[in-house]
Amino acid sequence: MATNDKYDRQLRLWGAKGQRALGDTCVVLIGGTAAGTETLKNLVLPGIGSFCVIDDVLVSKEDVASNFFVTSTCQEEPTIGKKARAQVACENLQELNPDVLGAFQNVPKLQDIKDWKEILYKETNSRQKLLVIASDLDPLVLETLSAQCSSLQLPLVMVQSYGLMGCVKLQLSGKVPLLDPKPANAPPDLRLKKSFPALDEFVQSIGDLSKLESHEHGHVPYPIVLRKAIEAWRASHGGQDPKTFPEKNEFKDSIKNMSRDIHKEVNFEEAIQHAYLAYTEREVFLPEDLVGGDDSSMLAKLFQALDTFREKHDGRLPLNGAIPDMTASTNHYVKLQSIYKTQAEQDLQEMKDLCQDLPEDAIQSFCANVFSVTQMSTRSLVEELTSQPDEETMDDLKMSLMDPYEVEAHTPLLWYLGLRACHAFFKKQGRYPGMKDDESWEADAPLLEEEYKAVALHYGLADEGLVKSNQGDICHELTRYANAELHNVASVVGGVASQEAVKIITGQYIPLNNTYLFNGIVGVGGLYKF
Amino acid sequence: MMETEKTPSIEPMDTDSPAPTRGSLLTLMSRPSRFGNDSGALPIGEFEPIAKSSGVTTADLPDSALSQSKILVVGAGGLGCEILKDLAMSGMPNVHVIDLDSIDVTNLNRQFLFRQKDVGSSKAKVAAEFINKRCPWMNVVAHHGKIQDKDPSFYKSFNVIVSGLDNVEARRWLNATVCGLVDIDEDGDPDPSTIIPIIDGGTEGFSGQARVILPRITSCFECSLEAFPPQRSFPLCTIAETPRRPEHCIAYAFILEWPKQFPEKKLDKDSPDDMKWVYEKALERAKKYNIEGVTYMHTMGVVKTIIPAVASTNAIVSAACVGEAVKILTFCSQTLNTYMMYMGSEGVYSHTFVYEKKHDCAVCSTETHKIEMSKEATLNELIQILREGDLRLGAPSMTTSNKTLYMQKPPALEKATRKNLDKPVSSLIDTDEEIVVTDPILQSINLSLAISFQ
Ligand SMILES: [Zn+2]
Repeated sequence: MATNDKYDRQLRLWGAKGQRALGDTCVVLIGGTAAGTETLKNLVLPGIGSFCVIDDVLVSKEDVASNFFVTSTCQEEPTIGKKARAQVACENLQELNPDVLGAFQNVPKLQDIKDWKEILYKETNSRQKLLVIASDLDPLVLETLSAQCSSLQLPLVMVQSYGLMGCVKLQLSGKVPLLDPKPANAPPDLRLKKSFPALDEFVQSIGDLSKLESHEHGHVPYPIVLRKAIEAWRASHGGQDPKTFPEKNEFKDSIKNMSRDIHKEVNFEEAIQHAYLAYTEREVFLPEDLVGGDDSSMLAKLFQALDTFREKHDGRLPLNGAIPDMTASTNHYVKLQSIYKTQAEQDLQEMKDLCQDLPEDAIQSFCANVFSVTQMSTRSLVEELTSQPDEETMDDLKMSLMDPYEVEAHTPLLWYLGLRACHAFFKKQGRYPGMKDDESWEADAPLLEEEYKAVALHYGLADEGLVKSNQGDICHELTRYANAELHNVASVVGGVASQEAVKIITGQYIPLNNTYLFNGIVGVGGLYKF
Repeated sequence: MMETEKTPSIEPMDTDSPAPTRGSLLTLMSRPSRFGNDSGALPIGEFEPIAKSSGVTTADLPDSALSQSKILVVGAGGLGCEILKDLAMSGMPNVHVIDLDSIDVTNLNRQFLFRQKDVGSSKAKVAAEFINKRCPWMNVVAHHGKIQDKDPSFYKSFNVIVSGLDNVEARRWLNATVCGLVDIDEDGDPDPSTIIPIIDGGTEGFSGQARVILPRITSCFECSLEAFPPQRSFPLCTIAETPRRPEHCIAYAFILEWPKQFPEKKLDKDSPDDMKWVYEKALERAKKYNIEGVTYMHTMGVVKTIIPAVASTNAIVSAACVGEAVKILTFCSQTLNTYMMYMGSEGVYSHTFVYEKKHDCAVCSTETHKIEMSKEATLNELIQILREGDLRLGAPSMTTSNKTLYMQKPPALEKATRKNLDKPVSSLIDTDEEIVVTDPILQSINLSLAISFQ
């Protein structure tokens, strides 16, 4: 081994900052089912600070068959029918990573808990942030929990495995700023149009490209090539930038003509590829409700500071400071790199002066990602269930049915409605459909279908042809499942839920907005915002 | 190596267990479905519900397809650990696992069957022991070694292969080997009883994919080779003359400096001493050129081409793979057709599609591969085309129906055929004569080439 750091492979994704955030978090799992323990496994391994499992049942032999962290013996004592599932899960999860502190609470009945606050905070300390995971909870418990997490401003990840169907739903704590979304294909931040003095001076200092000797000519960094090209263009076009499509092509041709041999001079090829950077400047649209209103959130303050900065710098925004690799001589590249970096540091300092009461980390992330920073909020589960989706959401849902999956009946949204219907069924019958002894299980299917129709109506989808033509088969299939715990489905959604938890905890990447449905019949997934 | 087969035996479970509050895999298997395997787009078999049973896991049912089948898990790393757990939790007791690697400390953030004390031990052995101990109904047999060291009869003995490999070359080898096991009858149709499904998973960071390969029926791994481009390396002139980034300095240290300093010794990427040497050389060069950012961690990343890896993604992909294995063996639901990808960094993006067969796939198609070359081009140049073109072969040997053009092995034959390498191909074969290519990457598959000369 060449490193002692067991976290090496994940640090390459979220860095030391993300790792610290994990270490400062306590994850509370309610419900020790396979979906829940799998979610927690994927969080204990990368090193959250601590966790607590809350549950109200004893270990059953079914648990042992489908839940890897609920074992038939624990510390050499038999568990089935004897030990609390919360305790056994806790001990087996704790054993995965000595850095993580595990705790459990075995409560008499989850359904009887009216006030969650004390229970949720019981095993945490004041430094820690809390994230709640609800696994396969029955609808009554889940709705109470959803409402209380919402008022306690705690992020809640809901995970469910139901036969071949799996579901993950996020309920964020209010408006969450996404300061480090790491977009995959962001263009380089070069500011060739709205430039700054140090860069202008450097471009000047290179002089006339046509006078350079050939090796040098083939190693002028492409941002410089673009600046020279656009200056020449403006000089011959009355100070205007290329605007129309033919003009833009002409501009590219002008770069090609500057090259001595376009097949050999990679820097000119790179310049042509990035020609648009010479005449476009990315914009940031300040969210009105953040800048104008009396919002005092961190993100509002950051955007207000940005507004001030932009006015002062004639429309220019704080610079990121990193530049991509490009064909260049070492000298030119290192010089260019330091020009961008120095300017970025100056900009950051100015922003820090503008928002002195905010954490440095946040200001830094904000400046580094100024074009992609955004915020996200979700409706709580309780809101989703009690009030109909707004018109836009309803339209989106209808749209997703207009573009069905290859086999219409596979469309995940149709199965999501089915899961909601199973919850509605439970609320009336106190059990899930299909739980009766084996001969008469199918009798529940028509009852479930009635619930399905009501659910479809709630989401504004009752008249959709796709819904009507498939609800019978879907309800029959869901009744067949009898809320079966299939380990593989639990493990898929546990994986999804833990990815989302990591994104919420580290404040990096973009979380799911807000529901993922995994249809294990053929392995298709769907994303829906409710 | 423990090679004993044991029929799964289950210790009688304590009966104090409360009445079940939810169904199980057995519930699904005992009830008819409108979504049985035969109703899907990739039908393999007809679903027949099993008789109602008092068992708890399918391992309790001595006759079920899951307890009868023999599964091979290829790789006991991030995916392999998950796959073994998923098989245990799906009641599939007869499992073999093969892996060459030993446990490294950087595995511990996701390969959850390993602990600090296991560092340095065989992955396959420790993983098998853990599962057998934790799940007494399991009989996992470990093979510590290279997949290439097992002969085809080994692979032939399995009903399903679930693969969690981290590199393209091993996946190509496995794919070609298993595709080569399929018997083709006189009409050119594959004999279904010789088709062993491969369920293949792969991950990188927050993204991953799972796919079902039914050799000769669906597309195979080789059909999708272009989706796995060869690793890009830095241009040598950048490394040697115009370094700009820390990676260029690191590449300079281990590609150019190391062989110069230690002509006799191969760089051991797992040795802290060797890696420190590379790091220090890289740092030296970076200082000389005023380049920032050479760290030990970055050095490791560049030298070992480290792919970021986390537990969560492995869990998603592995469980999707084993879920397909359960359905393929029991027919209790439909089969993934054929490729599922998951991307989790910007929201969640998940997409399933049919990966089409490549009509002239070197492995799973019998079609002749067409190559154009000039009349003067030599056999050596043809070998270059086979290695560097889209076929990406390793060490091709070539024959025609009546003569041997070039053989890589054995040494005597190589020597005898070497003289052909500099001759024009057009002088070695008759017009329209096909060349048959064999290559270790293609295993027992013979590839036919039709050359047209311009
Ligand atoms: Zn193929």
